[in-house]
Amino acid sequence: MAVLDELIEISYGCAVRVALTLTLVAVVAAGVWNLNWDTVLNLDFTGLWRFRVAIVKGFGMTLALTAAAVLCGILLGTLLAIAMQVRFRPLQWLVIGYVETFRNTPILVQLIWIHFALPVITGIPTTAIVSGVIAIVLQASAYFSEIVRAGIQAVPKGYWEASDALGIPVITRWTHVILPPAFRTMIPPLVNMTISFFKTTAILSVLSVGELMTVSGRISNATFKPIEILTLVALIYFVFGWLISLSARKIETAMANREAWR
Amino acid sequence: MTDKEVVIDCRNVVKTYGSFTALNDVSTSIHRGEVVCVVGPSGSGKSTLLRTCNGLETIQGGTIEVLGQHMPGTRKELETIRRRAGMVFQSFNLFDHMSIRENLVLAPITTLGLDRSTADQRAQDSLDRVGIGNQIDKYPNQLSGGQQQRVAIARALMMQPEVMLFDEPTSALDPEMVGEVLDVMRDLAAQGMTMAVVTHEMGFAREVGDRILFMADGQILVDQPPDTFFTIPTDERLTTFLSKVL
Repeated sequence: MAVLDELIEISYGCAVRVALTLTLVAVVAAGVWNLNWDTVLNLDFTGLWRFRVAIVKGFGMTLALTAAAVLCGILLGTLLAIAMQVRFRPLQWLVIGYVETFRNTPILVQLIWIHFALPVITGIPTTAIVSGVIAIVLQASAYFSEIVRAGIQAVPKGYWEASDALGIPVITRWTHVILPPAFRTMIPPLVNMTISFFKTTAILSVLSVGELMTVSGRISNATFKPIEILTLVALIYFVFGWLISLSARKIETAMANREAWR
Repeated sequence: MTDKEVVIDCRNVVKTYGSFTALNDVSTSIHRGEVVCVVGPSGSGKSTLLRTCNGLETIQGGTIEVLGQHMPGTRKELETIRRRAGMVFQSFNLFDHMSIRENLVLAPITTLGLDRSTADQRAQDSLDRVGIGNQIDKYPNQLSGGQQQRVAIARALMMQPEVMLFDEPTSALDPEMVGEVLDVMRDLAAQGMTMAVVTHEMGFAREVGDRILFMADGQILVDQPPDTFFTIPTDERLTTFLSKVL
């Protein structure tokens, strides 16, 4: 009886869904039930209001560091990616060595090494902020160079051949023919990487560079209320990171539409 | 024709990809004003031969001279030769992120030092010449395949080349668009342009070509004017080839 089989199948499917929903509700309820409600109900966020200027300044620093990482990273990363396209082996090895070093060591190690070991070797002391910027830019350029390289490789072979056949000079070929379509395909990964480095700036707080995470540490020391400030800071990171992804999706849709319309 | 200036001269050219020999001791020359069509089965080396003449492929043996210049020469010399020898590809190779106008004026402005208004005027003239003067501000993917290939021809004409190399210019086109591109090429030939055309269009080769080369296995087996090429086949493989394509 085909109809009966179908009925059994449908009711079986329903039962599974109901069971799964009930399990989820039970898990969440158990979690909520076991919360330390005394602490939760005694959280006081109003005390943070008097630190508003410090928080805004710290966030400004976070944005400035993100901008430095992304802008310098894209610039250096593009140069590295172009250097990889030059058919000169020693240069390629140098670039590969650079990229692999900075992609395969933790940013925390690089940061501390640059701040404490490098001045000893070079004899040039760096301030915390300079060390922080150097470390994050070096790592960003390594990651961005990989994105740019993939973007360049996605440009059709015919573009290279046509520029060759027309005798277009090397610089013009990069600026007018190869990089514009390459950057277009790179926008989604570039945005992801931007969000990633926006979050990475928090690690620079180990050198107290004065960005949002450093400020949150200072506030927590001053107020003895770490939960409030950490929660607020997490919320700020989340909202801003989310805004970047949203705007990226907007840009992508707009570009896809323009492409289709053309 | 032989009393005219030699534009392209290939002597004992050898091209290999690893153990595969794409061009095996090929010698031929093209004189000013001549239209030479190259036909043959796929993999016979005809596209490779054309591309070596523009330095897009390096050769392992023999010599190539284009417009009196030994190829490939220095980077500067190679760029100069490429500006004097226009190339049209099977897949058009237009820059899709640029308008038709930008596609046309980029090379003349950056290499010949033309100012914007002169370049714009020349772009309009080139497009008029290939019959699509009204499309100058569109983008490549707004045009049909045939129109795109005509833009590619106009782009090559912008450099006022002394010789044009066509690499299967109609092979990627829908059948109804082949005619418009061949018409443009016919006009160019009638205006005295020196042309090397790799093609499968036997009718075009017969009508427009001064000489037809038949290639197979990396060698030129037949080099004849059209009237004898088709009527008195001298080579067994050419007979087989013709029986398949005609």
